[in-house]
Amino acid sequence: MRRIPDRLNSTVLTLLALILLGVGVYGLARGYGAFGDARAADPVLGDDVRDFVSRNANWFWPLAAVVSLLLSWIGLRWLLAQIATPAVNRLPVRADGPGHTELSASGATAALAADIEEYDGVRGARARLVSDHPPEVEVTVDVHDDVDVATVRRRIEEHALARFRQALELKDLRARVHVRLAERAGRTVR
Amino acid sequence: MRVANRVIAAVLALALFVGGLLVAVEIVVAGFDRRPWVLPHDRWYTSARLRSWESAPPRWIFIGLIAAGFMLLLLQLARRRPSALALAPGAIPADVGRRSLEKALVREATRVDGISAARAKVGDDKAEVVASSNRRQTDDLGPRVTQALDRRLSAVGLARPPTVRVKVQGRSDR
Repeated sequence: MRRIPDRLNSTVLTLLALILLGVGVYGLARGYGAFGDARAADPVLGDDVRDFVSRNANWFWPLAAVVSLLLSWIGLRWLLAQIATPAVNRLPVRADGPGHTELSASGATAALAADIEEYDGVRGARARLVSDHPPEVEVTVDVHDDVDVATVRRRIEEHALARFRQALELKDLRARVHVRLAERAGRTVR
Repeated sequence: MRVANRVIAAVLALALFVGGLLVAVEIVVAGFDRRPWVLPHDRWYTSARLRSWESAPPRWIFIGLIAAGFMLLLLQLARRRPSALALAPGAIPADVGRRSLEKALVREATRVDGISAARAKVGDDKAEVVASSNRRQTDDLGPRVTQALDRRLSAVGLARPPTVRVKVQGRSDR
C-alpha cells in the first residue's frame, strides 16, 4: 500500500550501491597500480585537490556548508517518508456562498467503510483519503473466502463509491481497492 | 525485503540528516579558527595527506565500500514476491493481498478430503502449495488439490492467475 517510499528507497539504495561499488573499485584499482605506480604512491588527498580548495576557500567552504545543509534537509525528508502515512485529514466541500467549509475526512471515509461492511460476504472494511488533489480514496476490504470477489468489487464501485462521490460532490474521485481474503469465523489455519 | 530496505533507508536518512548538520557546523566552527567540535576532521586531513592509495588503511576502507555496495546491490536485485496481485481490470484498480491469498489457498487445500495440512507460496507467475496427508497412497490427491486451487484462484478474478503447482507429501514421504 505504501508504494512511493518503497520505490524511492529502492531507487536511492540502488544508486548508493553503485556509487559505493564505483568508489571502492576505483580506490582499490588505483592502490594496486592500475593507473600506474606513481599514482598508487600519491597521497589520498593530493596536492591538486588541496591547492584547489586553498585557492577558492572564499567560496568553497560557504558552498560546502550550504550543500551539507541541503543534504541534511534531504535526509530529514527521506526519514519522514519512512514514518509518515499519506493521509488527508480534511476535505474542502464546495459551497455556493462566501466562506469555507471543510469536512472531516475520517468521518466521510468511516461512512464509506460502513456502507461496504453491509455487503454480504464482507467481514470488514477500512477507507482513507490518501490525496485531495486529485481526491483519492484507498479502500481495504476483508471478504470471506467463499464470496464472489468480482461481485463485491462491482458493488463497491457501483454503489458505495458512487454514493461517496455523490455525497461529497467529488466527480473526479479516484479510488483503489485492496481485497484481503479472510476465513469465515470458526476455522483456523496455521 | 521491503522491511529491510525501510530499515536501511531510515538509518541512512538519519545519518545523512545528522551528518549534514554536523559538517555544516564544523565548517562554521573551523571558520572561527576553533578546534573541531565533534568530527575529528583535522586528524582525517592529516591521515589523508600522509597515507598513499597503496597503503593498507585506504585499501581496507575501499574493500569495505565494495562489500557494502555489493550487499546493498544484491538486496535490491533479489526477486521479491509481490505484496499484492492485481485483479482483472475494472472501473477502479483493485488487487488482492498476497498473504491473504496464500492463507486462502491453504484453507482450500485442507478442505480436500485426505489433506491434513498445507503451506503455500504465491509469486507473480506461480503458486506453490505443499500439502501433507496422513495417507500412504497420495496419487489421487495431487490432481484434486490442484483442481480445487485452480477453482479458488479463478473465483478471485486475478488479472494474471498464477500457475498452481502442488506437491503432496504422504505419510511415507515424511
